[in-house]
Amino acid sequence: MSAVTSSAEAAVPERTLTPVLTRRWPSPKSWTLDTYTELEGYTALRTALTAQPDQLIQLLKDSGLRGRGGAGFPTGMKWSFIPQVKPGEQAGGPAAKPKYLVINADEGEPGTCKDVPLMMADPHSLIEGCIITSYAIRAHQCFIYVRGEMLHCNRRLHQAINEAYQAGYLGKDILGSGFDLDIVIHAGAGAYICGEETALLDSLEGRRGQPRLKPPFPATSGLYEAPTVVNNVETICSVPYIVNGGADWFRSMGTEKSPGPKIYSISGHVQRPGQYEAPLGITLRELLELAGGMKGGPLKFWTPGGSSTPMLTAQHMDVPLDFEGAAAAGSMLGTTAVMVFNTSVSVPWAVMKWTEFYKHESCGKCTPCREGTYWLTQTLQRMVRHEGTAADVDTMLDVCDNIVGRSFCALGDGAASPIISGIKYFRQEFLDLCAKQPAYGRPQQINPGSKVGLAGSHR
Amino acid sequence: MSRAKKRAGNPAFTARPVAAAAVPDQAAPSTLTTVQDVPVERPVRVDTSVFDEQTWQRAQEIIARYPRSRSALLPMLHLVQSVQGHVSQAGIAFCAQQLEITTAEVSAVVTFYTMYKRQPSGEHLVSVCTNTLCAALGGDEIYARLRKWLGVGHEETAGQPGSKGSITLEHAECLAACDLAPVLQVNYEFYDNQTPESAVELVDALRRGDRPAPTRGAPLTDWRSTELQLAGFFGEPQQLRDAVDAPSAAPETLAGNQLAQDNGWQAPAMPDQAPPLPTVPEKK
Repeated sequence: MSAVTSSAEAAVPERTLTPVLTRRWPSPKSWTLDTYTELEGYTALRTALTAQPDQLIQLLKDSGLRGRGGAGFPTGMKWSFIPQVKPGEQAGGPAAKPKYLVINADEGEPGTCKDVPLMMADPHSLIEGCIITSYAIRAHQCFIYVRGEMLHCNRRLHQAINEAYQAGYLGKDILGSGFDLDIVIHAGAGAYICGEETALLDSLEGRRGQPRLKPPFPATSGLYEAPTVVNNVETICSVPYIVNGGADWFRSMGTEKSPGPKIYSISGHVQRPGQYEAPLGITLRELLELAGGMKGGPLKFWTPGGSSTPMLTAQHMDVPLDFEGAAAAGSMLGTTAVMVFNTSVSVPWAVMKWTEFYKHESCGKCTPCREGTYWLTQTLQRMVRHEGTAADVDTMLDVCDNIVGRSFCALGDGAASPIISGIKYFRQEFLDLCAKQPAYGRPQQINPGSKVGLAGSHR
Repeated sequence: MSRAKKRAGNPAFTARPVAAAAVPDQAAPSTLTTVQDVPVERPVRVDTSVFDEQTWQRAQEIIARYPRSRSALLPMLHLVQSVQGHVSQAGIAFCAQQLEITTAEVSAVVTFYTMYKRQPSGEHLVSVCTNTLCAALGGDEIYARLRKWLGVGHEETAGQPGSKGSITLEHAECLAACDLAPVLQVNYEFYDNQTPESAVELVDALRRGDRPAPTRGAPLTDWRSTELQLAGFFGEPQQLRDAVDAPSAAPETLAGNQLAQDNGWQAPAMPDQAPPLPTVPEKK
């Protein structure tokens, strides 16, 4: 690594930041085509268009890039699932249908705030990634499904696409390669579930955003029942860099199974919240050092990648934040949305707020999730009102047990995560909350001796 | 001029015979349009005359973006809101007509998505994030204060909906700006690192007719104008360019970048030339 490594000063963490995706962000008008092309923009596209599409799929496989939307599925493998007509064969089945690339830009997982700044600051990197990916999977139509509330992203992307068409990077016969591609920006309308890829496809088809039964998977029957790749923004933004730098360069960051740089979004009770791009595998301890340490009190709990990833505690500060490390610690890497909470925050309250969110966003299609999130919310609200009983704790675990693995999509599992992990690490806090009922206005029973006001203790 | 005549005079619609005005109803005034999507459905008489020729044109432009027309429904509902300030029965009928689907199918979609408002909304929409992280940092207090200050609850409007200075308040789910918490949005433009006091100041300014600049996002217009943008219509090229160039990067956004720069940290250098692409294994 060419990066400056640690000196004797204790303040400098061992692992340093590696701005790749975020590198252009501080440049003046980083969102314009002029700035983008000045900083090597659209050079990867020229390289890619001289290659065979299958070479690009192989490159992505070699790079080991894993999806940045939360699940961590290997990107190259996903692309290779798209059925293609083999040379000399008669086209038939899904291979004969048009292929689609759909970008999941519906960022809404609580804590997650990486794709929005990425699209705002560097929309052309997404567009270049879309063109290369479309070429690799042989799609001629790409949709970017942008969360509705993210108007400024939408605007920046819209303008970037205008510029790209004018410069000949989009449309017919891109850069004389004979390859055609159109990109359409599609604004969502406020539904977290549309971040689930099959719900997103239904939404894009003009329906309620409800997930589909898999199989068939989008790779064979996605948008308009045609082969479709759905990728996250950060995933596709990584593609031009992999083309320019090569698989070995990409693998020089991160770990064997989780290679590459990743944008970690640190928020909550830290001195300097923000976006920190580091190699996969950085730890919370290192991230906290970079972000100037805790604010307002010591660390109590945190999430490695959004509210759907089970919470962790101060004992997990040295867990490597890559796909394997987070899983080994009983959580998930998710979107690397690192939400950090100090001791002023009540765990049952935080869990209640998250559960209210899942209840609101449950699409209603399947019973375990629709009913489960509803009753879990009732139970948690009652508990936070100091009207719960100790039995409620086990009741909630029982309800969660009926949601996890029994829901139609991952939203149900996500909804159970904060509750199961919250009770796992802070069971006593839940019990204490129930112990002295009827009790009103006694936030101190959650956190004895604390002088800090409890956020949301509803006193 | 009747809707049927308007359509007949417009080449964009001649190719799309809509069953609409074909249902006879003596009692109906001539301005009413009848929607009949499938023969079995009872005809619903809804006046869609509020949607002018330009809106019809725009609806057709949206449809033209997609391989299948129904994909146009979400942006078209944003378009409908930009005209009326909410999705009315007329808006539902309009979309059904344009897409040749039933009003029930449109309603099912409208009721699913949070951003479609079914009551007339204010000049401005103020959305306060009250998800866990923002709430823990003060979002709940901001929302409570605004509710009290404006005297309204979730999705209620202070002032006459649509009138100058009217404000619809809502609590929002995570707005993907957690590093800038607590946040709120006015017409989907970001106001970062808010306090109850700054939020009250902001809504007071809006009620006075002022439009304080967002922390991130374009200069404030009104909610209906932003809905038009979500439908994909950004106005004149210069208008879009100016809005695009409005600020987006807060210090928090660049925190990691700044730290890397201060310390001389960089990603490993890329090779000067893009390395040759891998060869592809022979297909059997």
